[in-house]
Amino acid sequence: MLEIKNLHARVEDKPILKGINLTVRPGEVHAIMGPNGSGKSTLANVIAGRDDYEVTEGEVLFEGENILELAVDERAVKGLFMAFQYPVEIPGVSNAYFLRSALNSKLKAAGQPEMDALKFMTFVKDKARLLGLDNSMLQRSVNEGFSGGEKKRNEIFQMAVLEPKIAVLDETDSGLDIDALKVVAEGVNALRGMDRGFLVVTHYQRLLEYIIPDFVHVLVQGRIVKSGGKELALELEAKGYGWIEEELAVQA
Amino acid sequence: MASPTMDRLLLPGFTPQSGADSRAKALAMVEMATLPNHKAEEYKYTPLTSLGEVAWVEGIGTGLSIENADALSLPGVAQTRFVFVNGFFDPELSDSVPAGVEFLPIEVALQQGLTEGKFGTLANLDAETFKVAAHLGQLSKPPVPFTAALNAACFQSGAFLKITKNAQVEKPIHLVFVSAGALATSCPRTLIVAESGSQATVIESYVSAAEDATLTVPVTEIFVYPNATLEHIRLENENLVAKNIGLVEVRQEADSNYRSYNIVFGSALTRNDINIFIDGSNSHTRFDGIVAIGGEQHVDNHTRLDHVKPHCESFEIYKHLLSDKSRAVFNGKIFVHQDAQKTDAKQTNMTLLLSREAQVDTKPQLEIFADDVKCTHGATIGQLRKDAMFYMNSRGINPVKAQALLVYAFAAEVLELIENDELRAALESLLFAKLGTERN
Repeated sequence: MLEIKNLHARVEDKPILKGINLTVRPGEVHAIMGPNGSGKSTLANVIAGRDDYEVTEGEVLFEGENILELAVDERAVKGLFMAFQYPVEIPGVSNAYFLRSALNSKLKAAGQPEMDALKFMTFVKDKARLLGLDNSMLQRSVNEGFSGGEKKRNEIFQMAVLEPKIAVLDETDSGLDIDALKVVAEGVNALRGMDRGFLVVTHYQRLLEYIIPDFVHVLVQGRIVKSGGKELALELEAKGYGWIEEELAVQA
Repeated sequence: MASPTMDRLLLPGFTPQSGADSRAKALAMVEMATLPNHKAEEYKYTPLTSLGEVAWVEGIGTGLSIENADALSLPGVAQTRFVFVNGFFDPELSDSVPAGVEFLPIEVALQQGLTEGKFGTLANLDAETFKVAAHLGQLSKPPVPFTAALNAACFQSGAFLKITKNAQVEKPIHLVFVSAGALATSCPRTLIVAESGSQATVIESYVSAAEDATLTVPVTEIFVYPNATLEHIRLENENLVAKNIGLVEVRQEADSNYRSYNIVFGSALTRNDINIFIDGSNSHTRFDGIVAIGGEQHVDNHTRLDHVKPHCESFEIYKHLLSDKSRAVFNGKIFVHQDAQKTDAKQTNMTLLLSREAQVDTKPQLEIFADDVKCTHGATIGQLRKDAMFYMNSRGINPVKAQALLVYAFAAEVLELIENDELRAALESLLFAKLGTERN
């Protein structure tokens, strides 16, 4: 479903990703872990299409199509979603209007009828409840004045509404207290299913106690240096990233 | 002897009528004047010399179809409309006068007012028998600005509108000024009187019948009497080759409310002078503006507010949304006179530059002669936030729509205060259309 092949990317003259290979099949949850500066967030943002990065080599295939050629919104309407590490505040645009525009863009691209305001409100209210979000937030401006936890819940709420095929979570857990983390994880777990793939980027193993991954990959210095099952996350938590970096040094 | 450039604007058809001395004086003034160039401080960024290079013709007040009139007068908004073609009232295209309102073409009102000294022929006059002659020209006194002189010398027609004492007029009253015909000029004159205790919404629209280049020089005088509330929407939505050089003069008396919106989407060139004189205490004034332009449009708004009496509040916010090579000028003067203690005045000008070639010149000007007042002003100029664009795009909203939403959000602060839902929605739709996307 999502195939990353030999992906290289840089910021200005600094190479960040140095040949990433990764395949996410429908229904799978892949966790990307790694120390600060390893390129985790770069990977998430390159997939989503942020133009601060330059892809120098490689492909990202989504359902067989190289999405690196597509504009950000074109990727999104095909079913790609990124939950932001730092969700953006947009004063003056209500969550409801924002989300309905997003949903209708997707429906339009799929050749389906768009949703009017009334129908949309019934549709989203259930999803908001699922994430413990008060309905009144729909009338508030996007993320404006939201707490850190509310912003992250809003990301997952948007994901629940847009029902993507591939969801990339960029450090959605960072800065959350345990209650907020549980709510976010429940939201994600509710969306897990045979037809949807997840790429969960995180610095901490803690999130993976609540979102159990099928695969864990360790990203160091722009490469995936180790892959394994969920037990790899526990090992990383116990030993830190130092031992992997040492292993790499020995090999080099 | 008229200067060569002014000759072009003083058309053969424009001769002083009705025996008004003031008209002859204005004409003399215009004949003495030259079109202001960039050396004149108030016209520094918007010289009007190019107006003299065109062979204008006198606009004719006929020929607009009812379908065209419907399309041009904010369809979807329940309203009472009065349609003017090149400044001339067209009763066929207009609605009947509702209760609480008196309306006449200004030339008719003026004639009656001058000859009889009152509106002898109008029914339902209240005690303070109204004299058009006593009001007309009281606020707009040539030669300053130039627009006042030109209009006073040239106007042949326009609107006289009165909201009678204590009348609450539900439906917005829409004065639709349609410019029509190649190189047609018109100098419509409007006089609006909101008598004490009255409440109404008046829309003054400038629109084009077709794609011809036209020149409109409108002057609007507005009296807001004690305890009256007047909402005034002035919409410039002409085609992109039209020119509009306008003047609005407002006088507010005690305990009055004047809320105005100066909305500019159309025209190649717009120059507005908007002057408000608050001549009574405990008055509230809100005068906002939205300028959403692109291409090579040029829009210059000069506003001036005089706080003369104590305990008044004013709030002014002007927002510019500039695309392509468009250019906007904002000059906002606030004078707080010596007796205007406890004045609370706030002025803000915000500009979004949507292209590298768009340009704005903004000049706040506060002069305060009282010592116990609150006065603030601020001007910001910025670009669309890249992170917000990316965020919206990443949710599937395409860049055109995302930009329109962000820009709309920027402008919404002004439009959302309009209480009439249909009217607000109609103006929002125009804004969205101007930004190149449909509202859904």
